[in-house]
Amino acid sequence: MKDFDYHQLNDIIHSRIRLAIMSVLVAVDEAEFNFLKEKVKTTDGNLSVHLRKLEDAGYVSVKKSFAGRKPVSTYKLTSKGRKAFEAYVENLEKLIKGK
Amino acid sequence: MDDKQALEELAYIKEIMHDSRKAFVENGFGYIVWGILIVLGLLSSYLFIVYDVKNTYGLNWIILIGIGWLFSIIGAKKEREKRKAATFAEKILGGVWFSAGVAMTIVGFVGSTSGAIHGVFVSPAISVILGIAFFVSGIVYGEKWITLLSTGWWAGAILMFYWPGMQVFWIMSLMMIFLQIVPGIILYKQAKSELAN
Repeated sequence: MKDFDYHQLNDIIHSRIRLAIMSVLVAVDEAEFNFLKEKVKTTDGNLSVHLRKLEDAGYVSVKKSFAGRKPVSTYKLTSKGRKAFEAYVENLEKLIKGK
Repeated sequence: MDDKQALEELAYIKEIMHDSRKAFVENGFGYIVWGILIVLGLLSSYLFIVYDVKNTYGLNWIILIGIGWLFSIIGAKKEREKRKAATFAEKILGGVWFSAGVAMTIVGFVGSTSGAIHGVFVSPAISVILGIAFFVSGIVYGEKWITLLSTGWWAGAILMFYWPGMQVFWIMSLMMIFLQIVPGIILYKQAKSELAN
């Protein structure tokens, strides 16, 4: 089993929680904060921190609205984020194939 | 990172994506409700003709289709308020069925009241539209059996175009039961068991 130069993997995505967030957003077109929390299985605070990091990188966009009086944040993958995710998966596949 | 970790990571991605996609489950309820309403419309129209009851401007259809649209609009609004995620597939299907509904309403009401489409040809024209909607739905769901239902709708349309008459009410009613209500029940049961899991 050979070691892989992990620097080839995108640092922003290469974290368990951020990878999970990106995977959810690839699967669904858009998702609310609570849906992400449920799928990623983490706390509000932790999720917020990781979402902010993805937002700062331009990988996700957020739309804020109100459902009655309740504020709702809906997240969506940007085209930059989608490309980065695809490249990340491609690198993982390369590693498995040994290229 | 080594091969094993990469494999684990890919498996994790797949698992999360699969789990997230379950956010969208077609419960088939709309198929059942619309199917029942159309069958009621067909049977009442048949009885009006047989017993020579004057049915001004197809009042039975106005009431039944009105109920159907009301059900769909309220249902869509409730669903929008309740859902926490929206898949692209869900948006496509919503668009397909909404546009099919508008097309069928135009064909059914405007087509027949304007005299452009003879009443007996409304059912086959609607079957053609339903065939398209089921074909696209089957592809989006990834369910071959739903795609195959379109063959039944289109075959029925050909039969009704070539063999117009009172039998069209029965043919269309049977198609509605076996190609829409029964599939709706199957989808309803599948959705129930998926949600339970």
